[in-house]
Amino acid sequence: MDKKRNGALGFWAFIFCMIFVLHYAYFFDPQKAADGGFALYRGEIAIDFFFVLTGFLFAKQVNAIPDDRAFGWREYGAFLKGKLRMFLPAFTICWVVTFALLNKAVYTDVKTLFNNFMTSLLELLPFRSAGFYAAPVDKLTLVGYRVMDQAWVISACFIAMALLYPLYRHNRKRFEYYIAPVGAVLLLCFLFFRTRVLTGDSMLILDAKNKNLYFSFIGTYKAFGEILAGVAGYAIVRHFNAKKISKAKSHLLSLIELGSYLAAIGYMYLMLRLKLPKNFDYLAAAAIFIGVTVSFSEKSSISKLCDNGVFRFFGRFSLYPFLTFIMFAKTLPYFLPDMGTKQLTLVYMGLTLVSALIVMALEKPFVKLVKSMKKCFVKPQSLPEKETA
Amino acid sequence: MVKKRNGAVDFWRFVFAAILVIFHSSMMDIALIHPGEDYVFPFQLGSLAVEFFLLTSGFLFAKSMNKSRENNTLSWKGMWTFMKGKLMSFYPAYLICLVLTFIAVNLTRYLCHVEPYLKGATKADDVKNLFINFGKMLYESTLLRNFGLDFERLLDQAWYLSAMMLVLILLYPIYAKNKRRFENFIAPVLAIALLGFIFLHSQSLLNPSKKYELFYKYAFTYKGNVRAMAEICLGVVCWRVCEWLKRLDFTKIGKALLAVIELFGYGFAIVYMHFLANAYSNLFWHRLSLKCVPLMGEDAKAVNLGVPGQFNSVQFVMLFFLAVSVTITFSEKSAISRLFNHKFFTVLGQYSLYPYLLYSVFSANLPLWIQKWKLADKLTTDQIVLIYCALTFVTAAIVMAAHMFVKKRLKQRRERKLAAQEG
Repeated sequence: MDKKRNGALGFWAFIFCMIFVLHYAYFFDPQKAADGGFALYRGEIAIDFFFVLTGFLFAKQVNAIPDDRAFGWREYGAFLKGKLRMFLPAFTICWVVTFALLNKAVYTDVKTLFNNFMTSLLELLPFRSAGFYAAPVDKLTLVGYRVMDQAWVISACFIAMALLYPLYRHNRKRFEYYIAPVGAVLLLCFLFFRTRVLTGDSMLILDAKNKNLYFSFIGTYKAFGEILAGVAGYAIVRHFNAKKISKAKSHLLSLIELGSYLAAIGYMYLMLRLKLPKNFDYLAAAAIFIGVTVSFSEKSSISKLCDNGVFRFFGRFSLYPFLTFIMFAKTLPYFLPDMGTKQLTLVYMGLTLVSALIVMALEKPFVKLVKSMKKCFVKPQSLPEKETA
Repeated sequence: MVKKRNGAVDFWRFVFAAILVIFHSSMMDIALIHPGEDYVFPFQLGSLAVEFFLLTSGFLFAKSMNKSRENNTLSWKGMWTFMKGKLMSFYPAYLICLVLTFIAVNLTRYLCHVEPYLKGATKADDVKNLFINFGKMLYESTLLRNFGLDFERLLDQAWYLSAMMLVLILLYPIYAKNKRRFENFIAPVLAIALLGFIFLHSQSLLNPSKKYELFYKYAFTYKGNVRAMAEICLGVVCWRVCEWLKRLDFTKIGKALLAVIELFGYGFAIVYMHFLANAYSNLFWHRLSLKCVPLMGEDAKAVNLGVPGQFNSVQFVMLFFLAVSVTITFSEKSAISRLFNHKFFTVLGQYSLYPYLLYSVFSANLPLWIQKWKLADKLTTDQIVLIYCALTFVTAAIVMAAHMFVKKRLKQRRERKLAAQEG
């Protein structure tokens, strides 16, 4: 399997991550955000980039397995383990720090601390988006207790991949050419039919009105739909890559790629200023899908420009601000009560990036520490061969 | 071959059965004896002790399925043998307790002139009522309550047994057809999806008789069935993890750590059921909203209203802790597991079924007896709860002894008959 990262996607992952982070600055002035005077009102659509990208990477991973290798449950276990290893160490570090900061800022007594700890423990489960979520009352306030608001994204991705993997491996072609595109279209259209808006609070249950037929959160449906779209997109890219593309076409692709991303970002910024209807969310998501497809194909002329170590590092790095921002978004108004919204936003962005670098640096020693601790509890000879090695 | 039982599991089985008995003291109509008293019963969330039994049922189901696979007895016939074995492990005791409860309830009502045996009713009315109640008991004896045949109840606690049988009947063929797929995919997915579904709908594991509705009030099943299905599947996952744990060789520190985790899981569950049930109140929300005032203005105060049962989510945390503890207990890898390898705990485990099935005799009738014998002024509610527990446990011991004695005699008789035939 080619482990080389795609520089262009790395760059855009970083950009969309920053947009998402910036979007959460609405915590500093919820009233202004509600009135629409907020810079990135629809910034949460940035998350759709990651869902689509996850679908592409998921398909790439499955396609890296030789065709003649039959699906086995051990392989499935290894796949899930790999996915958990990707985010769990950094996630755990961030969860602990966020919990501590949040409780330092908002709560004081031990009893409340214990209460909060017990109620938010479910957040550490990767299957939180299956339903385990004590939803807050108002998303614009801190009323309602959750440590890491963004954890649903990781959980929804994990659940979607965990459920889709056996199906995908069972019959790759059927999945890529039929189940993924049809499933994506049906699920996303169903969401549009029911909600009209793609985002909003993704942890809202789909049908709160009659309370009869709801099985999951909007966010989980969305994750399934967009990951399936990503898988379908991968099949399109494969089709692209089989053909040779002229320079003019390559420039055209660059234009499409840039145009798509910029259109999506422009919508996030201008949506309320131009009073665009909220159901344009779907068009923004479609633009992101087109952008990711072109970037993934590496056929555009700008993809070569982005093919360097800096952008690849950006791609790897983008996970960390995504995990760390909430610890400051929620607590800064308490720690710096006299600061204005703009200054707070600047401090928030700076702290998010610095803390992301720290978490990134801490992740490996943390994993090593956990592994070395394992030896204290289990005799090495009884561990499975791979782990002993 | 002598069946080797896990003493630690038997011990915890007894503990959780005892919690269930104590919890159901709240079923006593205390207002009848001490009107207006605001009494807080022990183990207010004690009904969550059932989670332990559902988890162990799932675990033992997986164990049995794997044993059947080794012995090549997985078949349709094997399924009915399995179900018969499962049924026979509790049905005789269930039937005895059901009849005893029926007699006690009807006799008490007749003697105390409680509905339907009211003062002034003719003998013909009394006979008619007796027949009606007998019919109700027959319904209950079928154990089909959670299948849908839910009539008036004598043994409220029988939902668990009925739901367990329903779930096992449904899961057996799927498990038998593809063991690995079931253990690695279907069971964990079902456990997570169904628990998530329960969380999403009610954020609580309680109230097993609630009907789940689809498409505008078309009820399709009881919450208890969904809960049983989820937790039995979780038990299967526990079995899978336990098999992995058994392969590992733990150091002394590792074993001590396992013991700490095991005890913490059980301890937390017990403490939660007794002490913490009331701790999770709206007080927390009130405080939080006050903290939000500087940020949100006075609106925050209004927002905090109407967040009922938010902290029921801890029930799910408790369930996951309990699942971890059950796995460790079954693995026998913890430092304390050897402490329980004694026949006493085995007997305790077998005994635990009887108080669980018998408490209705006293929870339904004790207040009426106290009232009839004019003991209300002499006894405090604490004493009444103590008497209820003592009566339940002593009667359970007597019933168990009698049941065992009859069982033994029947076995001896059968053996003698067989020997005579062979002779």
